[in-house]
Amino acid sequence: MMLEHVLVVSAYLFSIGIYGLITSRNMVRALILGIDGLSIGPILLTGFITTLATLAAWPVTRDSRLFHFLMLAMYSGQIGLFSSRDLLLFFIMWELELIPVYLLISVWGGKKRLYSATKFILYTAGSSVFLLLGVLGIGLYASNEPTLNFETSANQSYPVALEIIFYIGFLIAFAVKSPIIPFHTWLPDTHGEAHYSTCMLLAGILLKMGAYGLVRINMEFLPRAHSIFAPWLMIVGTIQIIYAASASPGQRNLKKRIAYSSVSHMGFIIIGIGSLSDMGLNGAFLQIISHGFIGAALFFLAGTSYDRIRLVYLDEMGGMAVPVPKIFTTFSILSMASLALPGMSGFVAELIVFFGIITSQNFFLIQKILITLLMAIGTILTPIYSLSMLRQMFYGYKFFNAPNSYFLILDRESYLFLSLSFYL
Amino acid sequence: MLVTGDNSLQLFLGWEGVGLASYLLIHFWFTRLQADKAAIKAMPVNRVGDFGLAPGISGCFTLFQTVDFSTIFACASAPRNSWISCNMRLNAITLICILLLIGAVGKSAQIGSHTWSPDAMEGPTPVSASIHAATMVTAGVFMIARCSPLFEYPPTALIVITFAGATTSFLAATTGILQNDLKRVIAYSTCSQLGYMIFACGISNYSVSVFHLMNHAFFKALLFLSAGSVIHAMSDEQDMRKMGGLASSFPFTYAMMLMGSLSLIGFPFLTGFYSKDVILELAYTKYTISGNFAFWLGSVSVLFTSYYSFRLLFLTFIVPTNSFGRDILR
Repeated sequence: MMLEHVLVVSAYLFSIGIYGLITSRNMVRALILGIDGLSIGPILLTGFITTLATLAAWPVTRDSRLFHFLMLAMYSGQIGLFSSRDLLLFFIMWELELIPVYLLISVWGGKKRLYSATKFILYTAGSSVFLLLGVLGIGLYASNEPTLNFETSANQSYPVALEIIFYIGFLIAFAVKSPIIPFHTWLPDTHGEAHYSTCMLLAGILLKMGAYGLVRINMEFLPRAHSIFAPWLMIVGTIQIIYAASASPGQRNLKKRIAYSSVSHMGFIIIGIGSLSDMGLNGAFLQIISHGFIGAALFFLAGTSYDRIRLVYLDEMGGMAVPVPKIFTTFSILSMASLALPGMSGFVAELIVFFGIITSQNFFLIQKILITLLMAIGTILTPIYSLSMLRQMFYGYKFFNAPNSYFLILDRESYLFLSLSFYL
Repeated sequence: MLVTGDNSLQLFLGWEGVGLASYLLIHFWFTRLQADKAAIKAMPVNRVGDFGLAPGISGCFTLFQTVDFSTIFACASAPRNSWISCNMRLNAITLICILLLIGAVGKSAQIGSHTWSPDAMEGPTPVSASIHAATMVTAGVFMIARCSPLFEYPPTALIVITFAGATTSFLAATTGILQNDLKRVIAYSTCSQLGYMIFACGISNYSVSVFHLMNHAFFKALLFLSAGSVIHAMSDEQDMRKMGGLASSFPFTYAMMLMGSLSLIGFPFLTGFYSKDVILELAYTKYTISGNFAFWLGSVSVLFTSYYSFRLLFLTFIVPTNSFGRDILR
């Protein structure tokens, strides 16, 4: 899979060379691909997580070829999205994600899978309408001729009112995808019901697609609107951290709890994007990659423990530390990574976002202090739900008949995750 | 890394690391639910402390554009940012020091964040001895002592520190005299002694505070370990009312505990005397309100300290046997 990924990337780079030679006047024909520093991180993240998700899908025996096909379709959509230099391709790849996820959830999911799959697709497709409007608007508004090329669109300056309209349109689309409160409600249902390798792909990559889109489109193309909306983004991000971290301890479903933790961590990314500083953006990007690993790994472990004990609700679990010690260890370490323990990548990301806000020139001191204090409240709330999740699952003395871990491959895979959640 | 770091980020790394170590070690016997609840209580309460420490470090970064200690201490006198709120003029540096103090309060189990310390006694006794007597709880004091050039500038923060420390030593000592669990008495005693250290920092005598820290580490670890030996010998019975008359059964442990307790209450010519007495003298000679307050509360805490230490000794060792025969192993 990794080799294939390398081949795909090199094929794309080759195709850039070819398209560079062809100047096309028709905006539909030129689908331009390119990778730069902003997209290489998520592309590598995608490749890695998809590899591990495919390995995690090993025990799927029902229609496994369809399962893997859908995962590959998602994979190509994600790579296409992160490497597109063209708004139309961006939109096509965005849409390409929807159907595989719908099928993956509805065929291999949990008890409420049809409801959550339908909710997901209606929500996301509805937001994609706004994305389409924005794409067409930007594309048609170019100076000489309609073009969807990123480079020319990025250098285009729009009147402020138009920028704001486009910004809101794109923001709605990205707000649903990288969940920004209050458009996040599809996420707990979807993550709670999907098979865990789908969850890994969702949490690891799809959420980051929304954040990537925010950076790529909203920051690059619409800078004036972004500077107008940035304080609001920061406020919403802060509220998101605290809200999701408060909603998480109340969940009885294990995967929903981790889903809310994903929403909470995405709040850091939103704050970093809205901080209008170089450091903040760096921190947001690092959190994109770091949370990709951590979220995917947490879902993987939740899924493997579900495979063994077939229990979804946390109050029925308990005392799993003795039968499944490897899962216990990795889950503990990943929970520490999730609560941004120093020494792990999550801490570095959050710290850089902290410093990015503090050093940002564009906000008054009181606002910065308020946001910093609220983020710090978030770091108090995070251990509460992750540690109590650990406690409910692993400690105590209820014993289960758990089959011993014969998935040794997957345990090694989880160790790979671990080594990546440490920062060097 | 906590003590050798030369910038506050490494300090924070070590800070969280010892918090993590305490979490993992408190629920060493992880099948015991009490231990798990205690561990979970420990981690977020430490995090509440970090809620103060992290913005404090960010504030340092804002003011000084660096987290390196040498740079911060060198130019600590420079910033004069202040703003007016609630009819009080708050300097930026006052706010930072108060935030750092909140961090120390959380970590060193001062009043306000002391709730994790008695519950942390669910862990094995060597854990309590090392972490809760010597290393982790002193992290807060160490941080204040390390940042002492920074703390010298805002007099307001020093007054707050003194009050906090003195109150802790008094309140923890009063709670300790009524505890029935052997390890909890020692835990409250740790809180109380940490209060001493904090208020010694607050009256600007950081070296004395660190001196008391070192001494306290030794005699508290001694107390914890001998308590552990008693508990283990009584087949995990921790309630003091059920022990008694062990002086003849465990003479060595009794002697150790006696020495530890005497040192704790500041018996002349044992180490506790040198450090505690110096702290009280310095508090007496500091003619400020906070110094006098600290002196009086500190002296009363000495009274309570000796009360609970001897109560511990009596109930455990000297009183005629209260325990059931089946509790005593051989």
